[in-house]
Parts: sequence; C-alpha cells; structure tokens
Amino acid sequence: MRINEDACLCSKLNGAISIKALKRFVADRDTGKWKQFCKKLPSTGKKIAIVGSGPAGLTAGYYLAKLGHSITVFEAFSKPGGMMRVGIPDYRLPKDILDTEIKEIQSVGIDIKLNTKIVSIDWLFGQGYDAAFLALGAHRGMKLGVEGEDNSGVIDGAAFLRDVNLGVKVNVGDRVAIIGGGNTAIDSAHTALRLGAKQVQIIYRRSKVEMPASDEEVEAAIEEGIEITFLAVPVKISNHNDQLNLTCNRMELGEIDASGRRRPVPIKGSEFSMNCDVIIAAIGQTPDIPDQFNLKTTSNNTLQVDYNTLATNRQGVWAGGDAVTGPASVIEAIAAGRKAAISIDKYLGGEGVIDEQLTKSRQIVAPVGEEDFVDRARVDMSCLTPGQRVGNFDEMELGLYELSAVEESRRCLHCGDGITARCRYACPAGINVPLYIYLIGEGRYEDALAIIREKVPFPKVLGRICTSPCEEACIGCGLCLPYCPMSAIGVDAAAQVLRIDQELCVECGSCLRAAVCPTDAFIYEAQPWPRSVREAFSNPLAEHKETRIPGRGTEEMKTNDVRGLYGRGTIGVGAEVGRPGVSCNFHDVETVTTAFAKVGMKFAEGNPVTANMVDRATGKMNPEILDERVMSAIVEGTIPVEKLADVIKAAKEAASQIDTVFSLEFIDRPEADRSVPMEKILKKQGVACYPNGKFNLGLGRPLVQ
Amino acid sequence: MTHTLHRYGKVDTLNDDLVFLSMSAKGFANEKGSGEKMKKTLEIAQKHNPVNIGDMKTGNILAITVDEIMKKVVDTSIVHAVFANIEDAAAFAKEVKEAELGISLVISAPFDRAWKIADTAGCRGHTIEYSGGIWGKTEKLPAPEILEFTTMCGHGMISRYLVEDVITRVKAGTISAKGGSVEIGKQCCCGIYNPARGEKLLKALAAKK
Repeated sequence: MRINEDACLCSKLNGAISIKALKRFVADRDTGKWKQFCKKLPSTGKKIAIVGSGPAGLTAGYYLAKLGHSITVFEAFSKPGGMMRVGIPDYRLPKDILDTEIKEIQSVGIDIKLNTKIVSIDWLFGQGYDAAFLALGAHRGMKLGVEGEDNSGVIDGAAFLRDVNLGVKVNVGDRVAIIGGGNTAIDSAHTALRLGAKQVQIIYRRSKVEMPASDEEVEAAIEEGIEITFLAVPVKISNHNDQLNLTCNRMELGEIDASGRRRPVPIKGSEFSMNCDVIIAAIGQTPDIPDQFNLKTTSNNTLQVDYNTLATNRQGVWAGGDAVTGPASVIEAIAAGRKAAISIDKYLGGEGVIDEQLTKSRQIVAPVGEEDFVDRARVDMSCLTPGQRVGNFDEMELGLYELSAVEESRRCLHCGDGITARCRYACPAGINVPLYIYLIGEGRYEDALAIIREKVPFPKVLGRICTSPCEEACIGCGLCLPYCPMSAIGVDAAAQVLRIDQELCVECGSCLRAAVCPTDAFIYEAQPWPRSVREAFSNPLAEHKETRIPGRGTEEMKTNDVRGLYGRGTIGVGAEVGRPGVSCNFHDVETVTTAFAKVGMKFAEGNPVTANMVDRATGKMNPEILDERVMSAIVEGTIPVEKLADVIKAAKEAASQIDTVFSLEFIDRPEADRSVPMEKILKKQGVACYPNGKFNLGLGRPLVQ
Repeated sequence: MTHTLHRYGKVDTLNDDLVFLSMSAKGFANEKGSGEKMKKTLEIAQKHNPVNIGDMKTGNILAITVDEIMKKVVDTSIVHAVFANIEDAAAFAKEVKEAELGISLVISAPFDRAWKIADTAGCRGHTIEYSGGIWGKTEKLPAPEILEFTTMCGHGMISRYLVEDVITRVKAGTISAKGGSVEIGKQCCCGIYNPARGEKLLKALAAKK
C-alpha cells in the first residue's frame, strides 16, 4: 500500500483507490491538449544555474524557464534524470518514459550540460548567473562500519544500481548478500537476480514491520525467490581465496526509542555466517557535497537550508531534494523543486507564481459513482509473472485497461466533493487527486492529466514510482491545535489543512503523543544536526547521548545523597531557560551562560548545555545551534557559597537581556538544626523563593558523607 | 535540574500536591540492578493511594496501565508517584525507607510538609533545592491560574492552550472537571501531574464567572 493511498478513506472500506495506477493511465494517454493553456513568459534577462538534473533540479528549471528566466542545468553524469536515471531500475521505470518527460521539460527552454561536475559556486557566479539551485541528490553510499568491508566484492548499493543503469557491465556471481531494508536494498536484490545471480539474500536489522520498503515491494521480492533474513546485522567480512564470508549477529527488538520504533539489540552468542560472491551495502546514502561550496551542512552531511524557502546560508543559492533531506521520494523532490522555483523567482524580482490552470474542469459535480461502489474490489495493475521477470529488465507493471481505470475511479468517494478528501492533502506537490480521479470516471482523460500537470512535470514517471511520504493526511479538523505547547500548528486556509510552523516547532512530540488525530497524520522524523538539538532539549522521551539521562538536565540533587556534589560550601545553581512553557533559542541560553561564566560558575559535567559549549570558561555556545528553538535548556553548575550573591546579580543582568524567561534554582544541604546556609544570602539579594521545593530524603546508598 | 521543582500555586493547593521521584546514580554502585528496586518502590506506592504513577521512559497511569509501566522499568528509569495527602505520602516514604532499597528518593512539596514526611519516615533529609521563581520576560507567561496546571509538568508538555480549552469545556459542561484534569495529565509523560489537584483547580475555575 502506498502511503499516499493510505490517506484514502476507501482503504477502510473496500481497498484504497489505485491512485498511482490512475495517474499512469492518463499520463500514458497524453495528447498534449494541456499545452493550449500553458504559457511561457518573456525573457527576464536573469540567468539561473541548476546543479543536478534529477526531479528537484528539472522541476525547478521547468517552472523558472516558464517564468522567463534563462536556465542551465549542470549534470555530472552522462545522462540526465538524477536518481530517476541512475537509482531506479528499468523494470520499474523504463528509460524511454523518462527520456520523453525530460524532453518535454527541455522544450520550455532548458540547456542541460552533461558530464559537468560543478565544484565551486564562485565559479558559477563568475559565469554571470544570478542565482543557483543545488539539487545534487544523495549518491554516495554509506559504509557498513564493519571489519573487511574494503574487500573487493563489497560494493555500495547506490553505485551498483548506477553502474547497471548507465550500462556498465557488472558481474555479481552466483550468491549475493544485500544489507539494508529500504528501496535501494530491494532494487539491488531484484537487479542482482536479473543479472544472473542464483541466490540473493537480504539482511535487515529490524523486523518486517519496521522495514522501510513497502509491503508490496517486499512481497514482490519474495515472489521472485529473494530471501530476507530479518533481525540480523553484519559484524565482519572476510575473504578466503576470492570467496567472501559474511558474519552476522542475530538481533532482538528492545525498548522503543524516540522514533517510536523498537531498537534492535544484539543477541549474545548468536553469530552466523554465509559465503557469497558479492556483498551489496544498501544501508543509506548521503550527498556528495564539494568542500569548495563552503555551505553550511548538517551532521548527516546534507545541505542546511531555511525550511520555508530552501535558501542556503549563501545569498543567491538555494538547495533542495535529496541533498537536503537525504534519500526521499521523487514526489518530495518535485515538491522541493516547486518551492525553490517560487523562492528564486521572488529573489529575482518576480512574484513567485508558478501555478497555472491547464483545464477549465475544476469541480466535482457527482460526488459518488455507482450505487454498488462499496461492493467493488480495488483494481490493481496487472504485472509480469515472477517467471517472466527473471533475466530481463522489462517493465513489471503493465498499467490499467480503460474499462478498469474508469471502474476504479468510480469507486472513489470524492469525500466532501473532494474538498475534505485526505488524498488531496497527502500529495507533497499539491496534486488535486480527487478531481483527476473524478475526471477519469467521466472519461475526460485529457482534463485529468491537465490537473496532474498543473503541479508536476513528471506525470508518467510518477504513474510508475510515486511513493508519497504523506506528510499530511490531515483533514483540517483542528483537534490537535490545543495540544501543541508552542502553538506551532496553524490553519492553512488556502489548502484547508493544518500546517506546522517549523520555526516554532521544538520537536517535543506532544502532537504525536496526544493521539487525538483521527487520521494519524503526524509523522515522526529524526532531524538532522543542528535541528536535532530541538528534540534532545524538548522531548522528554529523547535521551541525551552524552548523559544517558532522559529529559533535559543531569541528576543534580536527585542523587546528591550518593554523588555529593552540592552542600557544605558548594551551592548548586541552575537556570532553566525557556521554562515554564515559553521556549527559547540558544542566543538566550548563551546570554545566561556567559553571564554565569563571568562570575566563575563551574558548569555541570554531563549537562547537555555544557556539552554544547565551545568554551566553558566564557560560556560560549556552539554557533551552529544558536538559532535553534527548544522547549527549555537547563544551565547548571556549582559556585562557592561566597560567590552566590554575584551569581544572583549575573542572573538579574541576563534576565534583562533575554527574550524569554528562566526559572532559577539553588541547591544546598541543611544543617543539623535544619537551617539552610544559602537562605540568608538569597533573602539579602531579594530572591523570593517558593514555599515548596525539592527535598532529597537521603535514602541512596552508599550514602556520601 | 528542575523537573518536579517550580510547581506554581497557592500554598493551600500545594499542600496536597506531594510528588516523589526515585532514581539510581548513573555510574555509581547503586545503578546496577536498580530497575528491580524502582519496581519495588512503585509496588509500595500502589499500596498508599497514589493519584499518579509514572516512569519517564514509558508514561503515566492516566495514559497507560500500571502493569505496562512496571514491566518496562529499567536501571536508567526515573519513577514517580504522586499523592494527594500527607498521610499517604508519609506512609509511602516510611515503607520505602524500611525496605532499604538504597535508591535515592526525592519529594517535591512545601518544605514544612517535606520535613514532616521525613520525620515520619525516619529520614534526616540530605539535600534541599529552592525555586527562585521566574525571571526575564514574564509578560510572555500565561495567567497565574493557567500556570498552576502547566507547571505540574516539569517538561512543559502541558500546553497552556489545552488548559484554556479544557477550562472552557468544563465551564460549558461538555467535560467533567475530573475528565478534563485527566486529559491534561495524560500529556505529562513521566507522571508527575497531580490529577486530584487539577480537578480541584478546574472546579474552582468553572465556578468563577
């Protein structure tokens, strides 16, 4: 089931509508009628360089060229198409289909320079370009990190698929082991089988439920005889007389981690091994970003951009697609290309309007099709049999016959005349899915294609490989609104859905845990550095890697009976910046840390704020995280009692400079007469303490003296 | 550093807001095997009428069952129990002390109550933490009556907007004060929200014009 189709209410009735198949049905019947309303504006005289000819790059180029800008696309490979060309095998996306769509895109006036790798943005601007869009893709395979992976015969999945797709002869031998559970792993397995391998085995560290590849892809692999070993991870590769030996460890699923998935944990003494001719590592890919770009990147080595505009830290340079998100779907890359086109046009003085109406058909006038629609089963595309697939790269899926397509479209409920249809908001590129399905049911295929074409320049490609991440199956009910402590969820009136303001969102997970969304539209995504600090400082279920403490601070006085950090002349001082419930960025945090550092505070070891300082003597924070917003950050440390007054003065000064709040706290040990030494100083300095607080009863053992 | 500190409110409502947390010291001798001891702490808590129980790693009894919480307690857990009167709280502390588990036990309460509980349990009291209040742009804070709810979750997971929404619904009669308090408390993952106090606060607010 595609996630896009998961948004279809029919999935709870008699099977989701075959959205992808219907898209392909109309795309394959393209008469070009949609072009009659297609406009190209006069030249603006502006030149734009696009690096990468994948779905993001070509989409941006297409819309910007139509707005009158001069577009040059630089492609490092010998053929255009990016990951659609080198990452997707022919049996899923025949290259002649891709060529047709790229030719159509080029027809609006795009110059594609092949075999041209761009390594310097300065060079681009030196050539007179007014703006640049970086859509480099993510083509570098990630290393397994195990002994022996540099042996010949161990290759990465992305490189393997690239070579095969570009016509390089690859010998896979008889036995192939593939490590990974995503699309690249599955495609590598199918491809190896088609290249003549007799035994292909996928090894994945979690269970089938957690496998990133879709159920139908996994089933297709099994149908073709590909074996899948779940809950196993490679630990060593050795080579004996040109024979590779792969040693793996069995895994079991442990506790649920912050992503909501159970973490795989090795089972002691469960090692097993297998011989193979080739091992394909398909555990992930990262972008290959030239150092000379001098752009901000994340810890995942993706380009860092403004989420709303896709602007990088360099003026006139935008980035999108896999180079920003890491490997994602084609439709997401297209959506990024659209967003970049809007931003770049505005930057160059335009209004950023890229949409145009390619058909006058805008309305659904017959909400539900035939009376017996609830009894009709879903119609899927017919496929080559497993036997027909082996040994060749013929397209697996065969499309829909006209009668089947019309029947299938008439099963659609057109929820709320299409206005409240979940599928409408599931598409990242904004395709009006219920409308084009309705038009197919009416036999108006050209109009249906025009509706798709209004949002994407790759309808034929998407009719074959569309896997939407379904960011929103949101129906705009608003039930979630009060649960967000940051009020980051807002109404997008135009789209009639809710949107999360990415600047306000602190990744605390409240919306997900509230579990009030009737369509389960919230999706957890691990964030790249530096945005990852948001979750670490905001989601109480996220564990700080350094301290193993769930939550935001250290153990402080909670275990002081065992640790003995505070008391007897040493006062614990803390300021939780952003608390209660206001949130803060790290500029505010740095204001507090630098103020405390000046009066000699010794910052707490193992504290997440301390860990993110670049200089503990001055309290300076890592500049990469300064703009990140978090629920709160706890600055904590110790100070000799005689300096407590200075700390309070520093806190007062910091309080006048920040754009948020902090809650202040002090730790000491009571004397035998129950007096608390720091109390007099606090009173003298005008600190009005609450009548309540925390009290360690002293039951921890061994008890510190 | 704070967690159960900084609970905001008038003393009369705080008097019945008694929060315990227990954890081992990471890297110290009492860490290994502490999961079982924390389970024992929660078992004892269940005998003394707790209004909430939770583990920071799994959730609280307003959202999941106590069995689920107990099952998942591990050495790195931080377990909590909340009581709505001093007798129950003191009886709990006394029994934990007698069980000699060797794991730190901290109470958040008005200090006079904390000392009473320590005396009843036979504890000397080891360390004290004061809240010095809220500093900075306090104009960004919600109204004091909202803060009484939101500060019952140290991690800020209780949204001021949810509290406002629930107050409106309680006033409109579409949800009971008890039900509204539980809905608010579910958002506090680790179980330090006091639903009994929340219910009282909601009733008082609903009675206001």
